[in-house]
Amino acid sequence: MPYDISPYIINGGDSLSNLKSPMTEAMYYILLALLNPNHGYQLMAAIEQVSNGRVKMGPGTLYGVLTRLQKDRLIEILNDDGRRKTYAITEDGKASLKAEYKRLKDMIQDGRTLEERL
Amino acid sequence: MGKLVRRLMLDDIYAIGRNESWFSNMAKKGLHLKKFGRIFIYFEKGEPKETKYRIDYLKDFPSREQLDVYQDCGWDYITNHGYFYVFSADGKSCTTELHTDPIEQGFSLSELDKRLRNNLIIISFAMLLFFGLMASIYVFNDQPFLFMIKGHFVQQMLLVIIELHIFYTVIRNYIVIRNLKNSLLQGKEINHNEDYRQARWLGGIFAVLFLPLALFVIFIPFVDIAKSKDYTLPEAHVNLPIVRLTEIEQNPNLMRETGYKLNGVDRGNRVSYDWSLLAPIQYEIDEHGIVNGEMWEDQSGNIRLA
Repeated sequence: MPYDISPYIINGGDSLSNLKSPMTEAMYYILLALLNPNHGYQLMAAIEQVSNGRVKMGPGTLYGVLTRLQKDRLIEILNDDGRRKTYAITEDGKASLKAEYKRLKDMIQDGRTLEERL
Repeated sequence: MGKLVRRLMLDDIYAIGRNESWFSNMAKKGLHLKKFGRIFIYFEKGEPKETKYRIDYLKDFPSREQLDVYQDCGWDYITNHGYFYVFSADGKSCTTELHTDPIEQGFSLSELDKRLRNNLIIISFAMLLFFGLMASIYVFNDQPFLFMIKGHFVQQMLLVIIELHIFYTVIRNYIVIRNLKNSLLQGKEINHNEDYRQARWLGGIFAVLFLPLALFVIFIPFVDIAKSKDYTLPEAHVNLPIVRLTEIEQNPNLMRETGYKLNGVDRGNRVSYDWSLLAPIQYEIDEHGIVNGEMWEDQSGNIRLA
């Protein structure tokens, strides 16, 4: 499903670190799932669960997002025993997630009339 | 392990969709991607199989954990070519796609896009310098055409063609990745079944044209070295269409003046042969002589003629 990405491109698309909202679905669900610290291994299952089976994330996407979020300090590595890393959301990440949640809620609110009209 | 089969790498590694499609097609014929070489790609002979291939751009080698997760989802790491990592999955099972979010995949290409752009800028400056040097050889020469024929003109022009081809490759790869990034950011997924035949044909034609050209350019200086020889000019008659000192001077007292000797060749009296593609036979004569008892018109020294 192609959708408008103009809001993603800030400063000509180069500065991705300022990118907090709107989020891609993958980013939103990973941040959401990382409210409980977890490792990559179980994250995919957690995301599927939290989205009631709607979101099936590919492993390439998962690790792509984890790498980017870590670089942008929205998540951090809590523990790395060499075999697996445990990721957790940071305060910045929580703030971004909250802002995105508010934006999505507003969007739903604004679309409320739809239910009356259809 | 099955027998390894080589195939020339005729397409760019940056053509992600085309390569994925090619690898899948090879697997259908029982040739399964094994590893990348410098010039060749190696395939292992086995049973024909429906296989999906995905090429992923990763900045670091994936961690053990990451590879485990990929494998759990059905994606096996095969090999990598620089930052391009190839994963494969059984074509018949309904494996989750490696990338389920084109926009996130587009973000992951941003870094490569930036790197290729910087590359392009540096190469552009190098090209400018290279062409400036090439042009200056002829522009600041009193006899540019003589210099072209006597010198390495053909070789230099071939070198220019090769450099232009390299430049074109750098530009092409930059544009390919930039377009791919932009189309991913617009939510369009990579076409994993892109037609690769035409690109491989073109790559093949370029290789056939450029490989001999490159070898030729390397080969020319060796011919030049082999054909460039110095001999001491004999005092007796030689079979060369040249005017000798004795013919100019017409003086029985004229005697040869021996010059500095290098490798047994009298530098004062020598024939030096040279070679270039446009002028295959070139020779230059040095001859020195003395007429005892005679002076220059300004009364200096013995007569010396060169």
